[in-house]
Amino acid sequence: MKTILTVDDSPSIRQMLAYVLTNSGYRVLEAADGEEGLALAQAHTIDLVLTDHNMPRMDGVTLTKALRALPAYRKVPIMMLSTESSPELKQAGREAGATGWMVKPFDPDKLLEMLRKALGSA
Amino acid sequence: MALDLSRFAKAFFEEAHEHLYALESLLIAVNINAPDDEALNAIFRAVHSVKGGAAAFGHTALTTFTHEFESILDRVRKRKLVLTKRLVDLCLTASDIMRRHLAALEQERAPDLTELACMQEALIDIADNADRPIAHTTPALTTSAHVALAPINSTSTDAARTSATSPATSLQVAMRLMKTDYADTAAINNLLADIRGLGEVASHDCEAISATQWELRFSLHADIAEDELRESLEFLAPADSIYITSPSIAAPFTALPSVIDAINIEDENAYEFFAPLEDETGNEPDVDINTLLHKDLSANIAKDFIAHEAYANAPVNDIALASLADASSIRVNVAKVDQLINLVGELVIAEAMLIQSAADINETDKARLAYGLSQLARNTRELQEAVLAIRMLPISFVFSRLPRMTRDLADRLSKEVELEMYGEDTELDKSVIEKIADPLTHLVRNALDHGIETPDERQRHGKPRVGLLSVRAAYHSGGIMITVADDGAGLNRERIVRKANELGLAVTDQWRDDEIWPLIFTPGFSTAESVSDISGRGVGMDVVWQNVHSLGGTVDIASNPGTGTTIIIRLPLTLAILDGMSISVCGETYILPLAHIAQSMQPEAHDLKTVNSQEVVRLRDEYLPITSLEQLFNLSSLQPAMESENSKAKAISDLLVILDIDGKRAALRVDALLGQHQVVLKSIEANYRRVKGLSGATIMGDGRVAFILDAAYIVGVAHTVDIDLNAKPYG
Repeated sequence: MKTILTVDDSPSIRQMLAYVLTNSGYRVLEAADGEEGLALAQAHTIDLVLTDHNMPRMDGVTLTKALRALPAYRKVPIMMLSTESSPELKQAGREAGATGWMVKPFDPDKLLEMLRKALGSA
Repeated sequence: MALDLSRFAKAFFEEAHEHLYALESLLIAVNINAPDDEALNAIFRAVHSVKGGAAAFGHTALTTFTHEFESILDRVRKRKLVLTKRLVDLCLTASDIMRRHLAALEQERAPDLTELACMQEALIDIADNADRPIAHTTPALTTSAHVALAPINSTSTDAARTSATSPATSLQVAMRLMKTDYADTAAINNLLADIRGLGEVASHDCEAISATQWELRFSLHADIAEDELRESLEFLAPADSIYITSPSIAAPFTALPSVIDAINIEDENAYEFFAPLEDETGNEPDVDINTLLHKDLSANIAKDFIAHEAYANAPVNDIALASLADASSIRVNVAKVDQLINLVGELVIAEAMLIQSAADINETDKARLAYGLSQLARNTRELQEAVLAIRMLPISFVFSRLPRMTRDLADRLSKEVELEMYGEDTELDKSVIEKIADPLTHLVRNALDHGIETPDERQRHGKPRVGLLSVRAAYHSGGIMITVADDGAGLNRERIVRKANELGLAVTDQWRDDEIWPLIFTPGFSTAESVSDISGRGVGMDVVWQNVHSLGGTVDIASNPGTGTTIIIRLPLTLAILDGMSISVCGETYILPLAHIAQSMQPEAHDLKTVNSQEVVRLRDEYLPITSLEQLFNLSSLQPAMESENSKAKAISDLLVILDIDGKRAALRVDALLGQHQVVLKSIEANYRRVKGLSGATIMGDGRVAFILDAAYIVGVAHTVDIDLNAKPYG
């Protein structure tokens, strides 16, 4: 079973992601911000990270960069999941080493399709 | 996969409301002249979070709105746009509109989209105008400033305008259809066939959003303007149930130019991978390149990280905690809890009856019974406490509305006021909270209207221009104390005396301040020179007095000319239960609230004195007046036979209970102390009428009724002046 780490400061978004993902046979770990996410990622083996960008304490770009600096997370897909649409931020995400970008609103099918693609090649 | 995400909608609404509440508090608290980065970031984040949720749950209109709102706040936090009072006002109104919009969505009503659109325009407008303030004053600069800004300003409204007129536009439509009009899918298919006459229906779906309504959503590729389409659709469904959005609004993140230029677009922009996945995961060198990129960027990102570190202590974190607390709470009908409380009350009485009858049973049985009963007593007590705790709510429920109210009122009155609040976590019984909300808002309103002076007047009196209003709540000797204090002009003695005389009260200038101030609680009493629309209609202060007293509380006023007025409300924590000491006087049993008993004592003869025909007792270095229930309730005259029989015994009854009301103390002479009980308070007022000196009644273990004494009244009578003070307005 693949483990997915979701990082978002909004409990409703986390709940929703967890619902969709667990129903599709993924194991889900949740974090409310980048710092929590980083701690969880170090304590568990994670197959894919789904992170929001704009969060308290540590944002998604910083988390991505911090994860990429860890040997275990060089190759793990990291998807930024955000409403942010500014090209600069996308660029920052890309440069921080994020695998890709998914915009809200997302529909469950698209999310799962994206996950399959990202995980399939891993 | 068809996953139903609607059950997360409730969580979204709760969250959104919390963010709006945070937004409002932050906007009110922000220092307009020198806003700090943390506050501006937190304001931005509050709106941003609402946007995130709105987008995830497909509330497109709200998403678009918050997107505009957020971009303005983003410019504010990046210091590209100066925060002004007008902008804060606008943001507050925007927050109100968002709240209404959310409420409508939550209740599945059609939200007022015009209101939202107007506010959106207003926000864009203020941002644009703030961008080029020079344009109005120096025409020479107008063109260049405008040209320079044009690309930034061509946001969704411009895009919407062009897309609405350009051929073959794609419009997103949502329609609410009554099931009575469209019974089944066949009817809806017919409807879609009609719509296909207008253009190409790209994708559609239809779901039942309630027992009576369908929601049909589709996108239409047609050479038709938005309002034309609307006109056509209004033949098919009520106007207010049709939502049409052009692509720039419907999906701002997919249609904005900034996103379109992004590389590697997949699946209509739902997601994208920055590079082919194989590269990311397959080849080691690529990873190295990434690592190299990290190094180049590290300076930038470190900066970014530091900026976001500032969030760490922002109030937004509290909001997250609040929502966590919410997750572990349930909503219960108050009636159910009340019934539970009544039942537990009965249980306490039944237990007391059992204990009483156990006293008549033989020794061995008695020991076993007593053990069982003590268990029962403990369980009952715990149950009672747990049940009562359900009703306890933090006073922040009332306090939370004050900052906004203060701000709006101060604006209308052209005053500058700073509001301080303390002790918002203080918990009170729900029924007390409900009854104290109006008096408290009234006191705050009064302090703003009559207490705090205009900035100019304050300056003339050598005070800071900004008035200070402080509202605090704290636990205080078994109850709660709420203080509303302003540093305004203070109460005007002369005016109060004059007004009292006009109302026919025999008041003279010789009265002391603490006798004069309570006059303002008299019904119909208003000293306001002119009646304003805020306060000063002569209703209000008497309502404050009545509400507080009906809760068994007291109101005190302290006021000094020129330095301000402080109003102190004292309330019991709960109305349902009381720790009491049962005492015996003249063969009757009474209950004294334990919270007000400082101690009991048998004084030595040399500690007793009579001063001015008032008996006093010396307690350490203080002389306390002695009073008795015989005196207060005329008990001796009711029982002359008993009095004469026991006269000798009474003469030597020197058992005193020292009562303490906020440091004011008096001694009460009693015949005997019977024991400590937890008693269930039954209102006399509800069944008979308010009786002076009694705060209620209870049923004792033997089934007899005992009165619960009002300690505040007794202490007041002992210090005779104070009872005059309390008695005057209400005789």
